[in-house]
Amino acid sequence: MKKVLIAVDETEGSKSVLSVFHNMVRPPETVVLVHVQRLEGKSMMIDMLGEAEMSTLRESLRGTEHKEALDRQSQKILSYYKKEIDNGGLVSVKSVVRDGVPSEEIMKVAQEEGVDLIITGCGGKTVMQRLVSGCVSSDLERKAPVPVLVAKEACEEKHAWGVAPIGAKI
Amino acid sequence: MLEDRLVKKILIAVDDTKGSKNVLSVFHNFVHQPAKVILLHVARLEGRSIMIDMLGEAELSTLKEMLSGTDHKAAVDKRADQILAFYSKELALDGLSTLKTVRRDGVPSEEILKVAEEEGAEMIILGQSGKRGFDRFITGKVAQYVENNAKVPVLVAKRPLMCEEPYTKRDAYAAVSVTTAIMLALFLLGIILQSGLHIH
Repeated sequence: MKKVLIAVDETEGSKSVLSVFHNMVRPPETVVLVHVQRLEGKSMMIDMLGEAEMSTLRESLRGTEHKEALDRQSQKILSYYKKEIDNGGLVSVKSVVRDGVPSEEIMKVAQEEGVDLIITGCGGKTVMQRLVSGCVSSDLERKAPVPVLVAKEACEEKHAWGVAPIGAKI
Repeated sequence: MLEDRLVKKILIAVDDTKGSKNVLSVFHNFVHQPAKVILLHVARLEGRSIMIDMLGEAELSTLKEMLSGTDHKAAVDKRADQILAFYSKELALDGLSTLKTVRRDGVPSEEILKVAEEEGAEMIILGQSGKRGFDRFITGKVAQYVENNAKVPVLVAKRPLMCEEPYTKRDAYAAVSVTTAIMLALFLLGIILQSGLHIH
């Protein structure tokens, strides 16, 4: 196995990809670590935006503090996961930051990089969104051209009602 | 030696579709060899009908009851054994891993989850569902249901893009028959309305 794409976000559930990656999967040569920024925060609106509106949103956010904060957060998340994954330099890790609709961006990166496998947690959406359309992972499972491994641990309690998404403590 | 294995138990669910064969390459290339592999096939008692998703537990057990001992059931069992034998051979585990084959019948997604729980599997590997076109549209997919409801990681092996057949002949027949039925209904309605006018 050459390349594995690992999609991460700031949720606690996302950390389950680490144990799956370390314990279950054969070590790959390269890991592509992807974080997709959610420009619109936690709103559900993004699924209804077209390409044109998305690029307008991107345009208007460029250079603002909000965008800078997002970039800083992405860097933090990616460097955390990079440290956990690269195993003292044995595995080469490439970090990629994108913004937009998570499932679509992950798929785009997977295609550009020509990965063999996608590993993802099953968070990345609020409880309400998950009720409507399933996890980000089910979008991926539906559309991705390569096998998808959905990490599950620590994900279960997040499905319960009334539990707020756990913030990043990275 | 067995204690050295990182992964203890993996459940692999297979069926008779081509898409299911992808679990083999995924198993060989991507995951650590586990100490034990549980190979599961869920026989579809109702053949290719999509009715099974509407049956409750009670009706299903009645169906099972009725079918036990019949030729149909024997044929289904034989087929299941063939499939399991094929995959047992293809998995080609090294001598250190053990293999257990399990045959169930009923609703595939639910049986997969049940067996995973009973056996304490740490990971589930399955192919992208055998359901295509019309069935998929109506009832969703096995893989997706398992993925959303399993408590352990789920690895969905993909069908290579070349074999993508979004619509089968069966779906075409279904579409044609539905259209014909609607047209017939409209035709009859027309006749009824016309005869109604004659009375006036």
